Amino acid sequence: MKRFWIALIAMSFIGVTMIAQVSIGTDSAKDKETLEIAKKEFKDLLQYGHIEMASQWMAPTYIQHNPNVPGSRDGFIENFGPRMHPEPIKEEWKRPPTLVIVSGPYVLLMTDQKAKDPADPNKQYTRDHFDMVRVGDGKIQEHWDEADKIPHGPGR
Amino acid sequence: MKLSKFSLIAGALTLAAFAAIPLPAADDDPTHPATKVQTSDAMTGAEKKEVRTAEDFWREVIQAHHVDLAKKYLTADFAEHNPNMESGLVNFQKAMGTQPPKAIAKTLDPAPVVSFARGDYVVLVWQHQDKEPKDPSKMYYWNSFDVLKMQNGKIVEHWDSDYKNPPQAGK
Repeated sequence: MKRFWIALIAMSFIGVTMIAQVSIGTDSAKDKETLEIAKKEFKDLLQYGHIEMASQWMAPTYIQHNPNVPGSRDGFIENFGPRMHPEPIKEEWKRPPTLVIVSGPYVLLMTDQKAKDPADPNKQYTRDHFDMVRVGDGKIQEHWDEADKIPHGPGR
Repeated sequence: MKLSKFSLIAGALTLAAFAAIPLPAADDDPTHPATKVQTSDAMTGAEKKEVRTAEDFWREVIQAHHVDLAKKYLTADFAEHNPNMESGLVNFQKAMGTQPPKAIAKTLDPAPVVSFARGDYVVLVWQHQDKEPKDPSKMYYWNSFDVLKMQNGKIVEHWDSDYKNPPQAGK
């Protein structure tokens, strides 16, 4: 309990790090369908390990903006395929996003992520990780996240 | 260069000097192309207005350092999720007020490569470029994110993709 109050007080001073799970723009059938396609990549492929679904849900001309993952759909398959351990797909996320926003072809997924505190490597803090896709013709056409080739550090 | 980020604007004056140096386009890797500037075609008039408000805030306050104008855009108790910043207008102005104001440009520079709003939420995606760590003669692109929650025309909450800076970062 004491920890809870310390955390609450800390959050009030050092920004707020967590929110409840929120979905925005998922009311219409079209929006739901767009979100479902995004979930094929981020839930079924990447969380439940079903890389064989990549060609069904990712466009052959898939544009990758993460500079650390090889470009194109084939590059994605080659990069993630060997690391996958397929499990039965469930309806729920294994690591649910805290914020989902759908607008037209775009789906933004924001996920709480633990990172090592640079001030004290024994501690962790919560930050926000983002993935965004553009969906078109029933497949994922383009992907962005905040991945960078240079490690995040001073002035970065 | 993360000129779009609250924390770096607040602290990394060293980058401000770097920002003045024009960089070649990061077209060395055709498998990771630049993002074509794009927006959602599904926005209502109210959502388009939210994007304009968010971009005006960025242009006037973040990019031109007019922290005096921040009260036009931020509620007094807005919630900040950037791990280097504190919640609230006063804390924002204190952190951002370290750089002198400059002339407010007519357009955002840089501008987000993807921008849209849905409901109360505005999404801004920025593109950056840097030298390849393994080959400094080449450039590459990467992205950062900002999400703003708006109510009654003002920002009530902000998230971004920033990491916590090490102690004394940006000194």
